[in-house]
Amino acid sequence: MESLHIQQTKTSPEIILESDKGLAEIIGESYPENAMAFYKPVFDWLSAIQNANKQIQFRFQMDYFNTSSSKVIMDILDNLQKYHDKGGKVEVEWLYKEDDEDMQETGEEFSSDLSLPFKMKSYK
Amino acid sequence: MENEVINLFKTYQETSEYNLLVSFKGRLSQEVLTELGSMIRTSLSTESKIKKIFAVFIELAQNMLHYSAERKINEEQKEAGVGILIVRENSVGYHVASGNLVLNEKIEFLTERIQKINSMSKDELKSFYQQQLRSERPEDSKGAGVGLIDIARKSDGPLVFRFDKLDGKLSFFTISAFFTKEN
Repeated sequence: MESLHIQQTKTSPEIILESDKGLAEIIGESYPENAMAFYKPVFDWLSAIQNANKQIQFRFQMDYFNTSSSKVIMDILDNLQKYHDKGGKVEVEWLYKEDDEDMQETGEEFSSDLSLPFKMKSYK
Repeated sequence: MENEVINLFKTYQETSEYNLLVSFKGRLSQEVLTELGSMIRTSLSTESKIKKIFAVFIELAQNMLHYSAERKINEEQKEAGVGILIVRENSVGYHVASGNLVLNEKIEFLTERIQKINSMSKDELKSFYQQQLRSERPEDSKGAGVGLIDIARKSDGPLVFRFDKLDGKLSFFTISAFFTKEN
């Protein structure tokens, strides 16, 4: 299972997938032309990590995402919830800018249905 | 074919009346959409609702890119939607709108969808959004089928729309979202 670092573009976020630590980070803005295709490497990585029974720390630090990306984020969280339900070790962190109430509320909405550890953190 | 004189002055006058911050007519692409988005961010940099206005513009533009019934092939042999996008400022607020062709068979679905959304309170829209986001992707959708709900949640007041029939197959669909200025 390989680690992966995808650089950000104007319409897609930076993605860091570190296999040793089981750490995934999505940082920035997300409105790619085809969100499902863009995030495919993340799902491939998740299934490899889960097959190896490793712990996962998933960190979102986003400024903006469109509705197609929102659906993909929901899919990622569903995937992590399933792993958690099967006994996998999972932790999600949702980082939002201090004054970004919309992003804070979005995190709260996403986590409302989940029972896995989900931490909200603000940053300056 | 003779070289025609095109009266651009008439078009110029008509568009000037609307005081447009951004206007585009033609074949969209992800690149064009990104540039128009940058223009909005530059011209509205001091506006408190800029993130919401930007987000609504991107949803409308990506709807057009993916679903406009008028399509053209670009340099990369990829298909993209054709239409009109505008952002307008007036004394009380902003107006973001898109216009593109749709198949007549889509009119009923779109009308019912928008009317349903317009009838909902902010709390009802929030639950509707969450419910739709958690359901299966619609078959012909590249997203989650929540674009219009998101536009309604972010903007102020009901969505305004109209269909202008072209022929037995196609209509021109215009949809507008509004934002009020806070002071």
